[in-house]
Amino acid sequence: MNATSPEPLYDLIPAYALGALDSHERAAVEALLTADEAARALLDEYRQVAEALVFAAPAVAAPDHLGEDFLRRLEASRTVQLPAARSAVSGGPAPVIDRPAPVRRASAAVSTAYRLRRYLLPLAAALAILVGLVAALVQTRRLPDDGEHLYAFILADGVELRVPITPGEGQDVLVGEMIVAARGCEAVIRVEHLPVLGPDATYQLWLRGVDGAVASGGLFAAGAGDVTYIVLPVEDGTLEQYASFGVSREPAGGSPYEDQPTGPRMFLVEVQHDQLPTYEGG
Amino acid sequence: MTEQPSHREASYREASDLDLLNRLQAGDEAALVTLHTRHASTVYAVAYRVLGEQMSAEEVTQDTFLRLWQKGHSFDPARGAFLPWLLTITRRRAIDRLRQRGREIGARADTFSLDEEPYLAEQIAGNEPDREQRELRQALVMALHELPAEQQQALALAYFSGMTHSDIAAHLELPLGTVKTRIRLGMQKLREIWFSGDNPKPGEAA
Repeated sequence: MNATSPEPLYDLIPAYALGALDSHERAAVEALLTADEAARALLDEYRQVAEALVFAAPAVAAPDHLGEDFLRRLEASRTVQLPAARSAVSGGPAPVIDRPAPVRRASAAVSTAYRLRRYLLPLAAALAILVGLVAALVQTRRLPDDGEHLYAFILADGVELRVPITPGEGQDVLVGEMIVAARGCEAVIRVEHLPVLGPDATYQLWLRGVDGAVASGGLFAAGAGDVTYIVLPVEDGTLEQYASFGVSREPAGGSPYEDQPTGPRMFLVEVQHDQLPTYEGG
Repeated sequence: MTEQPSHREASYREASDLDLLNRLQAGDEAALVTLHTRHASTVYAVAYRVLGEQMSAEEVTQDTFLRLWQKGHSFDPARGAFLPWLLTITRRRAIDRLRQRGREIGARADTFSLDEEPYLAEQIAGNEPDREQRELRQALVMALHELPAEQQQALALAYFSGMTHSDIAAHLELPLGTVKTRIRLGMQKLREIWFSGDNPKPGEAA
């Protein structure tokens, strides 16, 4: 079976919706989805089915303290700086939340488990919140907006590699390229005609590793003057760990999934490893 | 004249998920707490199905709701209902946690068995305002249990344990092609069930 021919790839779409593809299969299906509207429509159908499967989970009873514990975690989260996107909220009186009465133990002897829950869990919760917020910040961070300067710098300093972008289906108007500095430690994508989006949408960069793992590279807006520069996270010669870079259009705030775009694929850039410059450091 | 607390509480209790989400996005913490009260047990059930133990399931549950502060505005009502979206995030986060601890597969990881307890589609049916969705979910879950046992097994390992084709083939000591076929046939059958009624396909009017 030819793994890159369209028909077998369509057979992989149901498993893709489940998240069950091996990395090389996922890369092939992602490339198909970039170029094939019918494949994307089919994926949307299987995603509905996959979402509904969750209701096949057994209805296990939740612990009674879940609500009380959540209120404690909310309290702890107020001492942590929230991301800028969340802090831009409308004014008005602070909401009043009716808190449940604290749990009162009938017995004078407090169990070790109760002590752990009461004193250590809030601390663990605060730490978990910090870790989670850092992770959220990494995924939703805005890409640096000095791409034009870096692009000019690389041009002047020496371009080792140029790779044209591959527009997604219906995005033929897009033209551009990725350039990699001769030193191997900097890379920028320059793309023309990327449409300016409204406040309810954003572009999201996706990084596909050579192991097939996909991660968000951050959010960005279309540039001024119909040209957009995207600085790639390739410090310390890490370009060789990537197989490709992709851009999708997402709702404001980005894809709800950390490893998968949900919106139209705008374009793709394949990393050509046999042509990469050797990282010189510094 | 200020709103009496009982009226305010009622307005939150009676608000739809989408209304609460809009309030949450405007910084209303009470809306977040209301969503937690309403859906935490369902979210916990999904996390527990994946992780198989209480403490991790609790952590994923609470983390899922706290992340609504950051991700609530990425929900697009045109793409479906709020609860399935929330539960999909829960399942993915639980699978991430499962992978972090080396994916210790629980004893019931490869089954969708209903022998001992009700399933979520049945349990939350009374609170689901959309009758069509309620009936469709139940029909889908019943169809799932009518699939051949080997297809159910492959789907369960992929869906609730985050296993890939190769992982499942190695775990069950089966040829890779066999696993691929079982997952594909099972999902194709479920898709037929899901779109056999009035449930509109993406892009179609409801």
